[in-house]
Amino acid sequence: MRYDVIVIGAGLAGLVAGLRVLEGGRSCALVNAGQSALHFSSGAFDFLGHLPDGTPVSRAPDALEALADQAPDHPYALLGRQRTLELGQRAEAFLRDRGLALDGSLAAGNRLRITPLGTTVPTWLGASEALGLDPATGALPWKRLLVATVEGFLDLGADVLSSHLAATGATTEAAIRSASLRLPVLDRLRTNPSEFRSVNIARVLDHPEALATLAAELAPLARDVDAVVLPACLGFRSNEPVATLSRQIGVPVRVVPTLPPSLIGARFSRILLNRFLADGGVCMNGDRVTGHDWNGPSLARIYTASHEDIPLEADDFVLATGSFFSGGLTSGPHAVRETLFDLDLREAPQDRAAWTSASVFDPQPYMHYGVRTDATLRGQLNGNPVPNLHVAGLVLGGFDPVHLGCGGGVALVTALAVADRILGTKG
Amino acid sequence: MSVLDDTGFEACTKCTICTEYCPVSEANPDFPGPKHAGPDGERLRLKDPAFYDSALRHCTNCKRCEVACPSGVKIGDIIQLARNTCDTSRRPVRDFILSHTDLVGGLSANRLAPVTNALAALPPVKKILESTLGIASKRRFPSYARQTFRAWYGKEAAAAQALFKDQVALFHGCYVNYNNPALGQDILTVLNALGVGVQLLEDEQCCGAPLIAARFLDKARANARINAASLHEAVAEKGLSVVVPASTCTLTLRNEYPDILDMDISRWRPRVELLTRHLHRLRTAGRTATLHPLNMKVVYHTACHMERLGWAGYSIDLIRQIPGLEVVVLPQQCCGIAGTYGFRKENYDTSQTIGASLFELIEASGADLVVCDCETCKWQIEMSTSKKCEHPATLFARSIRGG
Repeated sequence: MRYDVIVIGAGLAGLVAGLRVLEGGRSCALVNAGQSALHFSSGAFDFLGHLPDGTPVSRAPDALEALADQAPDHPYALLGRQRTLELGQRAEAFLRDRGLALDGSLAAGNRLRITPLGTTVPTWLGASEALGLDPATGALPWKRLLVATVEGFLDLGADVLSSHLAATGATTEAAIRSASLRLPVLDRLRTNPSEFRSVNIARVLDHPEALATLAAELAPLARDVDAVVLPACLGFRSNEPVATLSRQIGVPVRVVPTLPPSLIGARFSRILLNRFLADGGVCMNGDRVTGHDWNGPSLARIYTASHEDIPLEADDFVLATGSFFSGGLTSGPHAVRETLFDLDLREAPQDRAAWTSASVFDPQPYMHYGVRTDATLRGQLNGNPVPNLHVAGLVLGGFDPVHLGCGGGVALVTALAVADRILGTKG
Repeated sequence: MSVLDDTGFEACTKCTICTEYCPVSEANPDFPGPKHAGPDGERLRLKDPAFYDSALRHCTNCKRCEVACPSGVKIGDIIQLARNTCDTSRRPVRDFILSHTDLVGGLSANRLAPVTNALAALPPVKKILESTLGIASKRRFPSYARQTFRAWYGKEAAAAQALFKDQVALFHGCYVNYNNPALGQDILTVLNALGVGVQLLEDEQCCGAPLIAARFLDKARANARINAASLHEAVAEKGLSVVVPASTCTLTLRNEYPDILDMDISRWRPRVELLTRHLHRLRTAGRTATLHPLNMKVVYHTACHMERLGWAGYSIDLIRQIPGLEVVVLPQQCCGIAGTYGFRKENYDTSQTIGASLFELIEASGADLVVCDCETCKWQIEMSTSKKCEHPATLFARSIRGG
């Protein structure tokens, strides 16, 4: 089968690259080996939280020059400050136009989002119903808070959340009350304690009748507070149930993401994938690339498990297969490889002992490993760029997305950059 | 090697993404979801089959869990094998009737079909079928043809088809044979327009999908042996490709025979494929037909087993060739019927709950027609929405004929 563009990988980078080339009038197919890392994410996208030397970043635009000095191989450094910021700003509008309800912007600077443990993490864009600190004051936007969890739900503890929140200085323990909701409407689910998870709960609570019982139980508890915080167990298909609940109980409701699976991340994935189909894209879900042919220096076609002998051909290919967990990178006893095409990697020494730091909490060298490119973001074989193989997202090398807090930004910026290049609007 | 003999389930990381995409666990909280029913339960069942949980009967075998799994675990296969090997409960007469499609189709698709169809549509008859057998009375039953496709083919088509230099064999499936011979005729129209004649297999039985779902594994094996012999003869002895219009038959022949029935089908598997995939091959080889415009809007629904095959692109690309036709692809979700599942009284409500949001999308789409490669999705969509639903080959044949 032949398309103008084939995108390999349907995580954040792959979906955005695919959506953008469709917008530019190209035909596009997406090869998707099982659902993506968006399902494990918090539903927030970071841009740059720290510099490599550990300095916290409050406004990314002001830190990109220092980043380029300290990490010259970082994709932001390859693209340059101005281009990176331009693409980042476009990504904000791009995602909102495609139906993601997100707060935040590069112009406003990093916000602090609240993790399931009650700690704070700098972030760029976050689900609008998620609990965050006021970017201006660094405090919670409300004085008195009710943290309500669901009885039997193990993926978020109200007490841990409250005490850690107080420890950040954003509020005090006295200002937070916690409660455990009985919610008999969930009793059928409770018969399987191991499956009493955010997604299963949301699929019940999103029904108007169930939501009304939640409101009825919550309303008396919420009488003397300024806002209610719930685990993200509401809003499977849209965030509408959160807004409805807020109206019903008369105070703002915010959610805190729980342990994976991520309700919000999965919703974002579904919205973008459905939009990709609606815009005319073809999805090959649950498929994986098994082989390929070169045509001189270019990639001619790929073969997949589902399509067997029928190749998938395209003028341009986007590699957005993610890092180790997603299978874009593979490690063996003595080598790290790019899984599909064995593209040149940045760093990745053969000495296995050098891959890791002794303490798991230290930045890990292997997080930097990934595909080597120049500013055109094309993959390379033995130092020669493959003219039509464009690389986006965490399969790229030269940065530690966990230590720097930049994975979401790199995915979005590089996805739009490669799509622009394919569409001929830049480079 | 069957799934039970290996430890593929160990690749499960407990991420629970499969449960998120399980249409049944969303509609019916009594089903614990694919992770729990599949890899989690398998550990226990391997120690002692008595750990089998009867809630596994709620699984529709849609395989959306397998498509969603980032770790390549064959969750649906694990559950189907467990149902067929660990569940020793009695199989109701109703399940025998629903799953033995050749028997029921053979008795119904004849000159008396109009009478049978009219009787089966009468509310009192449906009530009796529900109270005595447990067949959902709210379900609209598929109607039977006055003459089977095979009978029509033998009388009206065989001689003319043999005149084509190039030939393929058609695995028509029960639906074309007993319910909708017109689709079989459309398939002949399309292939003939591309210069290809159509033969039938020496003998063809139901592929076995409903038998596996109803735990009649021995009967499924017996059917599979007959089909495998016919397919082997067509592919290895006659050198023919075999085309299959229905996505579920295709999945069953190619994937369930080796994975559930433990058969070695490597000699014919590569040459047996979905009809629209074969049409893609013909087009790539330069065979084209003159197409007339169809000025209408259609929405394409990806059946669950089509999603598992990964081949929806062939059907979508096929109808996108038709001039004047606007094609919109619906979001990937189950319609709820799952073959014979939605015909069981106890599943009717779950079935309609699963499909509800799809029906709303179809109604709101402004489409003139729904297109889908699965006949049971067609029954569900036509019963639950105001739209007709047709196979891509029917639409393509219409464009060839000019309206």
